[in-house]
Amino acid sequence: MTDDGFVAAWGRARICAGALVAGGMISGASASEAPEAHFFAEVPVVLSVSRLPQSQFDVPGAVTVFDRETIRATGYRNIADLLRLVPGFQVSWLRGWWGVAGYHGLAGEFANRMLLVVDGRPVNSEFFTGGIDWNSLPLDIDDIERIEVLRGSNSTNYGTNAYLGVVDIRTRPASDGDGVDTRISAGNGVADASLHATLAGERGALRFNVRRSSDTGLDQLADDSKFNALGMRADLRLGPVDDLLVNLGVLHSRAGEGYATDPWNSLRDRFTETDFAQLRWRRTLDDDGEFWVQFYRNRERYTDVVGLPLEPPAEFDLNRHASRTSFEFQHRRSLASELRMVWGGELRRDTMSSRILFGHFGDVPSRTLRLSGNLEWRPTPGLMINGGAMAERVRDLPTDISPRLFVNFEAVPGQVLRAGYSTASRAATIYEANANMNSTASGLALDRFVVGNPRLLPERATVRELGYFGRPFGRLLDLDLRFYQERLSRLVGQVQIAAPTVAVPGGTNSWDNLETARLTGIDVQVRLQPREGTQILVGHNYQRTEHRNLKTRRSAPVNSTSLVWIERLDPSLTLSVMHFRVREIQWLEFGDLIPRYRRTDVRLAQGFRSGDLKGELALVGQNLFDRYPEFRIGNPGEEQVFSRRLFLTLRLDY
Amino acid sequence: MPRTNRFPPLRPVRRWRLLAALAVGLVAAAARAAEVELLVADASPIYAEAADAVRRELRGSEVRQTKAAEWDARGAGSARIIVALGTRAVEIALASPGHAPVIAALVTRRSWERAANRDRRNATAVFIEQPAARQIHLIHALLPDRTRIGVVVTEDWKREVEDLQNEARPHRMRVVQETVAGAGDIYRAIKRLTPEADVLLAIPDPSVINADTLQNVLLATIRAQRPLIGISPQYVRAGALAAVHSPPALLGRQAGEIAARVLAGGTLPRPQYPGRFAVAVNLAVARSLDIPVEDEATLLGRLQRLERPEREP
Repeated sequence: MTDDGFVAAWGRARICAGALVAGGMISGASASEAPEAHFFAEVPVVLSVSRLPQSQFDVPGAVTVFDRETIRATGYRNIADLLRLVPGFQVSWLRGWWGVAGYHGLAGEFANRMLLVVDGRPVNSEFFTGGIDWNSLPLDIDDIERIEVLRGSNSTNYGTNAYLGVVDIRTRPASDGDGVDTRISAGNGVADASLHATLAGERGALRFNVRRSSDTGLDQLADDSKFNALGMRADLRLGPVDDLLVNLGVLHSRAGEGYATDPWNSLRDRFTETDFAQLRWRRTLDDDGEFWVQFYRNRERYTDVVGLPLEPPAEFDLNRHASRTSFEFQHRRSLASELRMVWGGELRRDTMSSRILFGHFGDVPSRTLRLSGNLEWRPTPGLMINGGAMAERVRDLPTDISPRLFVNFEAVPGQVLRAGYSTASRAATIYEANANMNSTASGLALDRFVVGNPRLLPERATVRELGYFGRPFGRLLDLDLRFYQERLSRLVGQVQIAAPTVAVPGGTNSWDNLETARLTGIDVQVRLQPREGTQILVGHNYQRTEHRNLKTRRSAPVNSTSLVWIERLDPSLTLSVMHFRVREIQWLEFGDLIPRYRRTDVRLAQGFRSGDLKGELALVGQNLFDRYPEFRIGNPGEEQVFSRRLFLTLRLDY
Repeated sequence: MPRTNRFPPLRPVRRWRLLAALAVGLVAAAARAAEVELLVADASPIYAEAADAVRRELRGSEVRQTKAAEWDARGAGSARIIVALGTRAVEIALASPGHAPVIAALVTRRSWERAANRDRRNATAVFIEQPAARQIHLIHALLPDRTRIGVVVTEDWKREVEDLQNEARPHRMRVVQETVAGAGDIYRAIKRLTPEADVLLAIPDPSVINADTLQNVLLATIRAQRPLIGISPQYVRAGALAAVHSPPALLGRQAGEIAARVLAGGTLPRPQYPGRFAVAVNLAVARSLDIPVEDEATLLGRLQRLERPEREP
């Protein structure tokens, strides 16, 4: 979208908001009654058990939680970077706009074994071969209320593809904002601006955000990028027990692609347009339960054409379109005082179009039908048992069932032991099932054919874990341990199905459920609060990866450690230091063996206030010491080298 | 000790009122007057529950129960006492001719003061609100390591905040307040308050926290991990952590006890806060916020023991 288009869209959004307000949807009148009525008035249940955040002692699994304050204290501009603070996660940037993240390894250019959910909406994309386009997420980092990272697998709660790690992001309810707040960041390589505006009434609230970010990317690559996005969230009360969530967003970007050194992958711009709409109606039920239905639609369009060094000139048409439409419902209720049930289902349709991947430009669809349920039983106050299962049918493959059982036992008050057995699946992507790569758009034959395998079964994870979460010294220390053995089977691997010929020297390749892997290790997470105003977070992972292939074994480092220290120097001055150490790692696909590296980031923020205006000025320094490569190494001009970066961020809230 | 307001001494009943009362009394002489007139604001179950409790305390006395809308002041001319339940009933009772003392209940301190200042007669009240000391005791018992109590009020609720401050001080707690013009400002106020306060207390100011705003207030407090102390068991059911409250039956019982003492020749006591109360706790909210709580009965016992040595009769 051009800037003019952007302004026009923003204008339209404002007009829509005005119409909603004028329509009285978010204004309300209060009844005047006898003063004593206030003390006896029936009020609807707001914080039903279903809506209350679960205490960390009760969570069936190991989680790392980031609240707004911690997210802001890190100074990170991207959610992927935050995951460096979570034990067991690996993060890398292929380009300034292309991040990849994985939990416990087995991730590459399109890291697709981890699930990312935003407000209950999975955003892993067929468009990104089941991976996550971190920079195109339809949210600003300031929109985030809370991130819960589940270290493990949980199809029962999260459905499809909750395979190795789940990142669950909840954005701030519109009612949380108030007035206008802006953020501007500038420094070497960074120029960002964002604005949030909230309209609140008694019947609900609307929040708009508009942002623009630009980045010069990594040192050696021509990967500068510009992202423009516009979003809206509305939280509306339809009645005493009904509410409606509306989330809308559009994003446009231009990003530098290709290498100066590679004539077959030459320098050019690629353009991305994404939009989404989500509606969720929720009713709070009498029996301490709730019911919701949700509809959402995500759409992605990507324009990328690369010229080939041939005579006559030819080109690769890498354009791709993808969409996802989903209907989902969930019902939670208490069956008895200490027995709760949740069950739900989803019908989802994905489509993808790409001439290069499928041989023609038309929608290739995939349908997923899913049912899941979980029972939470607390037979005695210190014991909690969660048991559930997901049944899923993808395309016309056989139904896949993933059960899960978790026991939390509070051995002494404030200290919980966990034991869990989980299974999860990752369904093959449309590309893996339906690829038909044999020629370019210009009709030029490829030297290596790729044909999909529609009978590919979902990859399977069978996870056994033991855990501990406790506060052995009160608020001073939170300690979380997770010992795990993750057995991955039916892993998708490439096979040659036709031998090379003169015309097709690379042969014809496809995929099959070939491989298995076993990941054994421990995640350690410590939160120390030695005094008011000091917070220290330490994460560590040790892992042994068993797989027949050396590269896969190296896809998770043996040891990785992160440290975050947040110190409130005085009521308005905060210092944060983030430090990581990562042992040797080699990402799948094009990754090279990266030697161990360290990185240190610092942020110093000074808050100020003048009447109704509140602000903060922060100086952020990233990777203060050594330059280090993240993905490829050894090809000058094609290495992902991240060097020191300094920028200032100014926030103003009116 | 429950803090009571000092009221101006009652003025002698004006002469014209006496005359009017006499006249009415003569006209109504045919109608047999009851000993106790029990006047209820309307037919809603709250007043009915309180009225039943009043009658139980006055077993043996003749009690005539009337709804405010059907009240005929003439019939009450010779009643020895009027017990009025609910603001509407209290206003009518105070304005009625005659000099029978009025015992009011199910009335807020504010409505009582307004009505009592307008129509000054021999009267007393049992307020609906809980005394500040009891609220502080509840917070202290539930959350011993939280010391900053956040409240959101409009300008004219300063007195209630002062009462709280005075009661909080001996427990090394303090009250952090945000003053707002009305319900429209409440989200901004709560946002400003949550970093400064570690527990929020709902002040029964209906222009701030009411059924319309409660949903967003509760969502905001739970997101900030700050428990809300409510004003009623309904608030607790909705998602407040706890509340001290006096159900209508307990308020009615207290009014009935006063009436019985007056009938037996006792003097009319000063207006007072509820002596009996209950505690409601939301265990799910407590569990979500990792707050260890005792059961309601144990907590009630603790609060009662804290008050017993100094409870007013």
